[in-house]
Parts: sequence; structure tokens; C-alpha cells
Amino acid sequence: MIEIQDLKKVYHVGDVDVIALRGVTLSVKGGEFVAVVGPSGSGKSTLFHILGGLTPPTSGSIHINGRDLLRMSESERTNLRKTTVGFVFQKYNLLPTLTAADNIEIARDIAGRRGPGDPQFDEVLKLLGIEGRLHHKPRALSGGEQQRVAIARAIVNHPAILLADEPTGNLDTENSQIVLGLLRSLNDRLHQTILMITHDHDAAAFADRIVRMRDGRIVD
Amino acid sequence: MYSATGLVSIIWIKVDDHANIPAVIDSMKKTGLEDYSILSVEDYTSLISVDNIPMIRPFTKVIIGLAVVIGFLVVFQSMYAVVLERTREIGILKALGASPAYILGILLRETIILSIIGVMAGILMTYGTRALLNLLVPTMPTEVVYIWWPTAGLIALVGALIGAIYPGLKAARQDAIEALSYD
Repeated sequence: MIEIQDLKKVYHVGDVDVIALRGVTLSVKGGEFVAVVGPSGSGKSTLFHILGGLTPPTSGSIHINGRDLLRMSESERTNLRKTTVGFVFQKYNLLPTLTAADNIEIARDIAGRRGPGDPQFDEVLKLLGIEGRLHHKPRALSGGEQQRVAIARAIVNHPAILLADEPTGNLDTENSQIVLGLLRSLNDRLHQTILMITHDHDAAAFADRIVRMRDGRIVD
Repeated sequence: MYSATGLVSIIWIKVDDHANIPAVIDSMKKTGLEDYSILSVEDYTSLISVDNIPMIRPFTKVIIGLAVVIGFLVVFQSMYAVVLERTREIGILKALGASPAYILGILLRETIILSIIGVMAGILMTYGTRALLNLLVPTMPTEVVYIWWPTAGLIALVGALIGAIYPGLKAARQDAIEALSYD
């Protein structure tokens, strides 16, 4: 599913080169739930941004479902985000002017999947417990509800991989447990491959496997 | 009107038939009034028309030109600010896999709708302004020049579209990670 070999990423900030990844090697099977933990600056977010096609790697190799991200053009990486990868962010990143339903629908629209709804997805909405809150705008939803809408948006196009970047970072304990339980359920019931960044070791315990990063490398 | 308080400055003469005006003027001049200005109403009103005030037409054109340029810049600047404020939203769309063309399409559709609403509001405000002027300065004639509606609408639309396309293109091509971290 995901094969990463000696992945390196260098950012050029003015005249200074900032090495974010110093040779990451990682393999994730389809249907796995992997937590990536590590301190700030360890390269977790950079790894996610590369996996999600938001930024190209500098060197190494990274394959998702056999496709080489290093050789992808900008438009191919855009297509990857549309079809293969779904993002869940710490700050939810819902569009404030749209209702929850429209926030989910716009992801379908971007993927060119206009038309009647998806009965299978209606079941997912029930699982996420937001089917009664779909006509509210983000400001009328709690943090936990917003994050559940963001999860629904991330998986509406049935992506091969769900990337969750600190999904409980802005939530209280109760809502964190709900969101983590939902990610666990999505993995158990739908065999959704999930990679989750977290600082929280209790959150990481929800995953099948924990990968630790430090200074741009995987240490464990 | 002529700063000649207490003096006779103008005498109006009513002629029985419009066709007799030249003959009446001729006969009056022959009776010792040749040093006075004797004019028909048409000639008199033509003296105070814009054609007889030097440079008034170029001056009017300059004022209209300035209004057009200022209007264009205001609309351009407003749309630029609106799109710039939405950089983060554009970053979200990029993260969802939206192409630059998709993002620009959304921005342009919104801009066209906003422009149409703006033009309609502007036309309604024209009538409000005219009613206010008629109330405050009843002697001043006002006229709504309908021929300016499409021109003004086009100026607003083009200004808004240019104002939206430039930052829209910039934002659509921007790095998604930078756009997402924009506050």
C-alpha cells in the first residue's frame, strides 16, 4: 500500500537549507491503522504533507498503491489528493460559509462525483453521529462535531489512505475519545487505512502500530 | 441673477405668433434699440447652454473619466481584499484536490454574482440620490442617464474580474501548506 524508502526533504528558507526528513523508511499495509508520534520538529507533518501530495519529496522513493510520488507532476499530485488521500486536520479546516453537508458535498464535487448521494456513505454519517447536524454551519457545531464532519469529508470519496494530523489536538478528553473511537471503527468496519500524527500517547494507543520519529528519522 | 439689484435687466415680450419673432426683433431694433441685445427665447437659452461655456465639455469628460478610473480601482481593490482574505479557504480546497482551474472558477462565479448585485444596488441608489437631491435642492434639474447603465455595469464587472483573477491565480498557484497556514 505505502512503501517509503530513504525519503529526504530539504526546505530552502532564504539562503538556509532546513532538513526536515533525513532518510525515512516505512511500510504500511492496506487496512492498517498507524500512529506516528514524535516531538515538534521531528518531521511528522512533513512526512504527511509528502504522503498527501501537498509537497514533493527531495529524494528517496515513496509509492502509494504502486504509484511513485517522486515522479508525479503538480497536477498528478492534485489528482492524488482528489482520489487516493483524505486529510483530517487539527484545526478541522471546514469552509465557514458552507453547511456541514455542503462541506462534505464540495469534496465530492471536486472529485467530479456529482449526482445522487451514496447510500453506503449515509451509513458512515450515522456511524459518525452527525446525520442530524448536517444543515448547520461550522460555527454552530462543537469542536468534536466539526472534526467528525471533517472526517466525513475526508472519506466521502473512499480514499485509499486517511491522513489525520493531530485530529484530537483541539479537542477535550471526551471529544478526543469519541473521534479516536470513530477512527478505530472506520478502520475495523471499513478497513480504512489510517495514518495519524499525534503527540498524545493515549491517542496513539488506538492504532494497530506506533511509529516514533525524531530529528527527521524513524527511531522505532 | 445679473447682480443688478434695483435695475431692469431683462424684459420679456410675448409675441402673438412664433413666426413673427424675427420681424418683431427687426422692428424693435429700428426704433432706436439697436444698442440693446434683443433675442428670441431660443437664442437666449442657447447662450447659457454648455456649448457656449468654454472648456465645459472637456472638463465634464475629465470628471467622468476620473469617476470611471476611481470606480474601477475601488472595485478592483475590494475584490483583491475579498480574495486575499480567503487564502486559507483556497488552501483547504487545494488539500481536497481542487485544481487551480476549479478554484478560479468558483472565485469568478462569485465575483460575477457580487458584481451583478453591486450594479443593481448602485442603480437603486441612483434613484435614492435623485430623490434626496430633489428634496434638498428642488430647483436643480436631475436626469437619470440610462445609457450609462450598461457602461457602468461593464466597468464594475471588468474591475471586479481583474481584481479577482490576479489574487485568485496567485492563491490557486500558491503552495497548499502555506495557504493552509494563512491567518
